[in-house]
Parts: sequence; structure tokens; C-alpha cells
Amino acid sequence: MLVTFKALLASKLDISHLEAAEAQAFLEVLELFHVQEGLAYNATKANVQDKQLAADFTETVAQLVYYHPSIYANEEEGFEFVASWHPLITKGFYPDAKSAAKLVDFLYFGLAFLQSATVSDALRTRVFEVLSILVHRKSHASAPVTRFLMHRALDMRDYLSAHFIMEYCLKYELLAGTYFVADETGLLQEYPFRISDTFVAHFYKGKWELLVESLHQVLPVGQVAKPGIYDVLKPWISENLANFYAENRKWVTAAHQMLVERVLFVEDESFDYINLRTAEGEYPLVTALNDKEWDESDVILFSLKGENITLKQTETGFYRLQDWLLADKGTNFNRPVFNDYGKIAFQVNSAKELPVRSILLWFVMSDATSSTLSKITFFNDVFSCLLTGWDAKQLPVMSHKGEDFPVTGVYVLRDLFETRTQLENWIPSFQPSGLADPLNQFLILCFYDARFQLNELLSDESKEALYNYLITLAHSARESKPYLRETGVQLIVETLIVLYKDTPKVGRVNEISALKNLHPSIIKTCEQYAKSYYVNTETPLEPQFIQSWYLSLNDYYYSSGKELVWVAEVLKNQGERLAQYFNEVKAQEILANEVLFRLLTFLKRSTKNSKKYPGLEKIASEITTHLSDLLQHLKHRILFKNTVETFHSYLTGHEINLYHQMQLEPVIMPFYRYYFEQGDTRNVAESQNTNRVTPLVTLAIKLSDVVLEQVITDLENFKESRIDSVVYRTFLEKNLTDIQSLLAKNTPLAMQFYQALYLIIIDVEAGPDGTYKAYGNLVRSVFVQFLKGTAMAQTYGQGLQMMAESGAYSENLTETLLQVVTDLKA
Amino acid sequence: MTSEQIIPQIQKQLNFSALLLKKHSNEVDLQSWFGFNLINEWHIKMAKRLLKYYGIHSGLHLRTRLFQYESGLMASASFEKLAASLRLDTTATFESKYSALENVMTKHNYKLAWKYRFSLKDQKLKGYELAHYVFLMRLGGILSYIELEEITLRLEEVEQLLKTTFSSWGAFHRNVCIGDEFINGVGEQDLSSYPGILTLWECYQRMQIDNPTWFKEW
Repeated sequence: MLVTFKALLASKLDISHLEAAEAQAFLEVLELFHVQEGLAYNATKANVQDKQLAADFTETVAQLVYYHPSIYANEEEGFEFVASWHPLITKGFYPDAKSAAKLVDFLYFGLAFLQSATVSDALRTRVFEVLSILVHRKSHASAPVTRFLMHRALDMRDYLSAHFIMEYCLKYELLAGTYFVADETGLLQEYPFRISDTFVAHFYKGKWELLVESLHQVLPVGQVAKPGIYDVLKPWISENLANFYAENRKWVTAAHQMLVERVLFVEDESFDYINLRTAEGEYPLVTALNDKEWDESDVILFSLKGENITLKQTETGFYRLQDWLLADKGTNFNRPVFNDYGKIAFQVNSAKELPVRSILLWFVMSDATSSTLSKITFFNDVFSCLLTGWDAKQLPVMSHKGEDFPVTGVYVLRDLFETRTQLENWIPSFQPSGLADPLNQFLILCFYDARFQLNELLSDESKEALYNYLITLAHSARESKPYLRETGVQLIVETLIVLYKDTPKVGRVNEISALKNLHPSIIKTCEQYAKSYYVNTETPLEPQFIQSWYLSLNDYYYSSGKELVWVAEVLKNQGERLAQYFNEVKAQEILANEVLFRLLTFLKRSTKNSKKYPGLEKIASEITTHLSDLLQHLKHRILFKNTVETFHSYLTGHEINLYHQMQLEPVIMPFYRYYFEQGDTRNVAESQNTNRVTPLVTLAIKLSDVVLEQVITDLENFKESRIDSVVYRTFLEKNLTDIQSLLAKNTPLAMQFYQALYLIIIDVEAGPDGTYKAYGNLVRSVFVQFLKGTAMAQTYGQGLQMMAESGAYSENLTETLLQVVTDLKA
Repeated sequence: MTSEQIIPQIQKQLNFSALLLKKHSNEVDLQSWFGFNLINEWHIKMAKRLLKYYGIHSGLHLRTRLFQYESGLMASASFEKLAASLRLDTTATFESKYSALENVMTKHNYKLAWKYRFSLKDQKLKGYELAHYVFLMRLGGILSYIELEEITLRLEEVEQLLKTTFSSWGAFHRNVCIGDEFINGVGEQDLSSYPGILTLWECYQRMQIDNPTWFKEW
């Protein structure tokens, strides 16, 4: 190559008009080529001799060196010539604008030759090295050479050349970094390779359309899995390009077409191009999908959206995808495009990334009655994130219009389901899949969340359907995993309890409260619910209601008090109320007598079996207390004669437990006397049930430890058991000797008995001024009676004295205590 | 809990349901609490299916059913109603009533009620109902709808009721079979029925052969 240049330099150059500084520069050029002889050299040398001048590589010199159009006439020589510039331009001697223009002309013309086999690799390499330097160094050649490379690389009319240039562009990073363009004053300015208005002005005459058009043309072409033009221009992608698309929507359609073609033919996902982003953060190519009717290609593009794009921009797109999936009975799910691309859109980290209306998609796709297993599995998996609040009983936070949107049950049932609000039309088909089905779990959460509004949200038919649904699901919980079971049953029960708070349907109440056996954690809630229904002073008593009380006695008895525990509450404190009801309401005598017979039946049964089944003993005492309460307040005329007779014969018979006899005797005898003894004074007796204590002729029933234990237990809880102290007095006085002999044989029982008495004596409420002073009076005398003269007397005496002198008691009580001490000693 | 020993008295009480259990499956072990084997998956499945058939999904449902059987709502009431209406009929009036019927099942029921209208006046179909009562308790126990303690307590009551109603195993079992016929239709051997499905009468005969020592002492 030197040959060419040397020949050139040695021959025709006219250097006579060069200034001294220019001559100096020219001399340096020559020396770079080791030209140290010949006409030009000598002349120049002579020109600059002895002058110590700074070299000035002016336009004139540049043209002198570079502007030789005649050389370009021969392509081979022309390229040799260009290649030989290398040492010069590395030293900073760049071509001027005119020479550059000529060079570019030659390049356009000779490009085909450059690709041919006649050109050696070495030369080709050399040429591109020169071009690379020209593009990136500050010179007037930068812009034209860049323009040449860019136009050729993006020109699809000559694919081979474009490809050729593209390869070298990648190899030498020709179109990357920065380039230089002269401004109006002729000064060179540096610009980056990024698409912008100036970029377009420099290379596309300021017309964006030209640039974008050529991008759209060139991008779909390329080879699979090999670097292509996209790699060249990827760094150019800029917010300005995004702006262009944002402002020119009609170009977006072409861009989509181009990108899909790239996916299909080049198998490249053009990720950066799809996710073009404006300075404001808008992704014009993604958001444009929102306005379209979707087909497969949109599914592809949408699935390639970047992670950083805001939910607000993708929400509509997501719904388009949803519509696409729901169309044609959901068959699109089976298309390869959904498997390969669509599924990606459902890869979310949390429910917050899912738009709220996608719940509907879940309901259609995972409906066990109409969907296929593969769909169900996939969508259940996707939407499993909606159930992360299961343990906390919370619905998820999803997204709506780009904002976090806490899902509420009301929203789902009213706003989302719309026609589905008619639960009866579809929810029965959800029943069979049970609690294990995630859809059902989600539904339960919704109902639970909306439980306080369900009554207004749902029609009566829907509520019926909901009831059946929830009950069935609750029962299915027996077979589900423990964590599902616990929370699931809790959710269901709490929903049902709110929904059926004031229901008149007894069956419902029973069924709901019977759910308690499904998990220990809800036992209390269920029992409380049943109790608030059955034992509620605000519920007016009705014959049917009363019947249901006593029918329940059946199960209460058989389960030894484990089921229907509220019955205990009825027995404990509804006796008086019931008596008032029978006293006031006319024509319910039959019911009243039925109730009493039923109570007696179960009292007999439980007494009889209490030895074998310990739970029944408690029931027997409860029934006794209840009977006592009831009869105490019942008017005499309510009971039929044969009822009284039956009770009386039970009272005097051998089946009765002595302790029960003790409690029942005072309440039954007035009835007995009313019918059988004082026929003339009925009205007097009816008005007041006083003087209940009359000695009774009974069969000799042996007092047993068991009975005494019951008495002691009730004495220990004398405030709760509400048994009249008179009852104890009668019992204790009547059986004094029996009790004493029993206690003598059973020391632990004796200790327990004395201790119970002692505790009552020192109880302030049993003192002379307390609520239970009758108890106090009774117990003090009994205490002295039993203890006097025993070894225990002294100990208890000392104890009482200490208590009395502690000063903790009122004067009155202190005196009383001291009196006991005195009595004990006497 | 199944390890709890079955004393002879309880075995006797459990046997009230032996016939019904045998009818539902020939594989059942009559000498166990529940009849069905708790470790046998198929047995459990069958028990579940039966419970579902009787509409029992919880302890509450079970107890409600038991109450219905105990109080005669399941069979005795309808039998008694029909029988009572026939007690004043003569053979001739019955014939005319009977021939006017069209439904085969109703005809069948009329025939039975006519046949037993006096003999079962007091007993009604209590044997059948209480056999079911025990049968359902055993089924319910499999899924822990009911505890053993409650079963034994209820069994005692059942025994008492039956003892006062019937005088022998034979009379009791006859009542069970009649009840089954009344509720489920023809129970006598019928060649046209599917092979492998035993009528209650057949089960009864087989059971007597399998357990010759049982069902002697009432």
C-alpha cells in the first residue's frame, strides 16, 4: 500500500502553495510513510528548512493527502489507498469534509467489491480499522462515514451488504460509543449513539419516520441464535424512541408486528425494544396492547413485558389476556402459545401483582365441575397466593388501577360476581369438592369477611344455598388437612353464627352448634351460640320452644352431658322463668305436666345409672335443682293430681337418692297437701308456698357416702348451688346420728365436711349482716353440734379465735366467731 | 377405644343389630364393637356410604335418627296407621280395598298390615326400629360420631325396651324381618332377585347356622 501512496506523493503533488506550517505538517506526513526522498519531499524539506514551526494540518494539506478521486477509479487501488491511511489517522491527520464525502461516495460504490473474494482479509480488516477510527475520532469524516455505515446496515434492499456491514459493526463496535458532527460554526461536537432528535437530524434528515421505518424493516430479519442487527442498535434505544411511539400510535401496530415476527422467525424476544420506556415511565409498546382485541401474538408480546413496568399499565392488558383465555370456552389454554408465553404473565410473587378481577378467571378456570384437571392445577397454583392470609382469616391485597386493593368479601360477592350473587344457581356444584378445594377456601374467606352484610347481600334462596354449602363443607373438614380443618371450621362457624343469629329455625341452630365436634377450637363458640339461642330471656317462651328444651334432654342425658351443654344452663336457671310462664299462660297445663314427667323420667334414669356412668350424677343433681326451682314457683293448680301422685310416690319410694329427696321434699309436699290433705284450703295454699318444711314419712333409705359427698360439694359451692339453707337444716337434723356414724368411719370425708363448714363460718357473706346469714346461722350451730367434744374442736377453736382477733372482720361477725369458740369449749 | 372388652351382656345387646349388619355385608365381624373393620379401607368406605344413605353426617344427625327410630317415627307410625284402618274391616271389605290399589308397593304394605294387624298391635315394628337403632350406633361409632360410653348407655335402654316388648329372640327377629319387608318390599326368597343379594330371611337362616350358641337365651 505504501507503494500507492509513495507513488502518489512522489509524483503529482503540487506543494508550492503550502504555507510554512502546512509544509511542516506535510513533511511529517511524508516522514510517517518513510518518504525521505523524491520531488515532493525535497521541495517540502526545502520549504521548512531551519524553521522551527508547529505543524498545521489544514484543509489544504488534508486535501493534498486524501483527496485523490482518480485513485478510486480502480476499486482495488482505492481500498488500498484507504487502508494506507491508517498510520496517518492514528497520528491525528484526518480527512477534511470534501475528502470524506469522496470517500463515502467510493465506499457506496465499492462496497460490493469489498465483500468479494478478491479482497484479502488483511485489506478488509485494515479498511474497517480505518473506518472505525474515522467514526470515533474527532473529525469531519466521522458523520459521513457513520451515516454510510448506518444506512447500509439498516438497508434491507441489499441484505448481503447489510449483513456484512452489521458483522463488522459488531466486530469493531463501529456504531457504538460516540460520533462527531460539526455545528453551524464548523466546530465538531461529540454525540452518543442514542436515538434522539439530533441523532435523527444527523442521519435521517430529521425524519423520525424514516428511522423507525427502517428499524421495522430490518429487525425481523436475521439468523436464529446468532448476533444480528438488533445487537448493534440495542444500545441506541432511548426514551426518545419510546416517546416517538407514545406520540405516534399508528407506528406501534407496525412495531408489534415486527416484534412478533422477530419472536417467530429470529426467535429473539427483543426484550429491550418491547419494554421501551419514556422518561415518565410509560411503556408505549406494552400499554398499546390494552386497546386491542387480542390474538396469540399479543399474548406473546404481553408475556415479554418487563418486571419494572407498573401494574397500572399492565392491568388492562392482563384483563385482555383474561378475556382471551375465557373466550371459546377456555380452549385457548391448550394452545402452545399459552404454554410457552402466556403462563409467564401469571408468574407472580404475591397477590398484589394480580389485578382484582382476575378472581373471576380463577373461578371459571378452576371450577371442578366444568374444567379440566390441568387447568385446575395450573390456576389453583397461580391463585394460591390469594390464600396466604388463610391462617389470619384475611382476604388478600390485590391490585386495582395500579394501587393496592384489599379484597373484601362484599366486593367479591356484590361487585365482582354480579350474576353469581344468585348463589343457588352455582354454589351447590361447589359442595362436593369440599374444603380441600382452594376455591372453596377462598369462598369461605369471602363469606366470613362479609358475614355481617350477608343478610342484605343475599336473597333468601341464596342464603338457603349458602347454608347447605357451608354445612356440607364443614362436615367435609373431617377429612381435610389439619391446618385447613382448624381455620376452615372456625370460618364457617363464625359466618353461620352471624348469619343465623336470630333465626327462628331450631334445626339450624342445632346443626350449627353440633359443628363443635369438628375441632376443639370452636367448641366454646358453638356452645355459646346454642346457649344464647336457647337460654335467652329475650326470646319469648313458646310451647314449641319449651318442648325443644326438654327434647334435648334426651341427647344431653345419653351423651353424659357432653352434647347440648346449654341444657345444663336451662336446668340451672330457667326453672323460675318457666314456672312464671305456666302460671301466666292459660291452657298449657298438659305441657307443664309432660315436662315434669319427662324430667322425672330422666332423673330416675340418671340416678339409676350414675354409678356406672359418672357424668350422669351431675345431670341428676341438675334435674333435681331444676325441679326444685320449677315446683317452688309453680301454682298448685297447674299440676295434675296424678302427676303429684307420681312425684310423691317417687319421693317416698326406694329409687330416690336421699340427697335429691332432701331437695325435692319441701317443694313437692305442698302440692301433695293441696290435693290430698287440705282439700278445703286450696286457695290459701296456692297463694303462698310458705311453710315448706313438713316431716315426711319415707321408706328407710340408707344414707351413703355418695350422698354425703354431694351435700358437701354443694355446701362448698353454697353460693352457686342456690339451695335453701332450710333444706340442709332438715337434712342434717334428721340424719344427725347417721351422718356422725358415717363420718366416724370415713375420716377424709369428715375432714372435708368440717372444712366446708369452717369456710362458711369465716365467710363474710355468711356473717350476721351478709346475704347468706341464714347459712351462717345454720352452719355455726351444726359446726358446734358435730365438733363439740372431738379432738378437732380445739384446733378449729384456735383457728377461729385467730381469725376473729385478726381485725379483718366487722364487730358483729367477730363477736359471732368468738361465740362459736365459746360454744365449742363449753 | 375399640380395645375395650365386650362382655357377654354387651355382646348380647350388640346382637340386636346382627341381622341388619349381616344383611349389609357378609364380611362383618359380629363380635366387634362396630362390625366393620376399622383398619380395612373398604369397610370404612362402606360404613361411610351407609351413613350417608341414612343422612348422617355428624353426631347430631345420628342422634336425631336414633330418636326417630326410638320413638317409632321411622316404621311403627305408618304401620300402625295402616293397621288401625284395617282392624275393623272384614275379609270382603279388605279384598275390595286391596284390589282397588294400583301401586305394587302399597298393595304389598296393605297385605302385610292386614296379616299382622292384630298380632303386632302392641309391638308394632319396634323390633325392627330398635335393631336399626343399634345398627346405626355401631356405624356412627366408626366415625366417632358417638362414644363407646354413650353406646353402652343406650344399649342398656334398648335392651330394657326390647325385653318388655318381646319375649324371645325368635319373636324379635321375626319383627325385624317383617319391618324390613314392610319398609323395603318383598323379603321372601325370590328367584328373580340378583344373585349375591341376600334377603333378610336368608341372612337370618345363615346367622343361626354360623352362631348356633347365640339367640337362645332372651
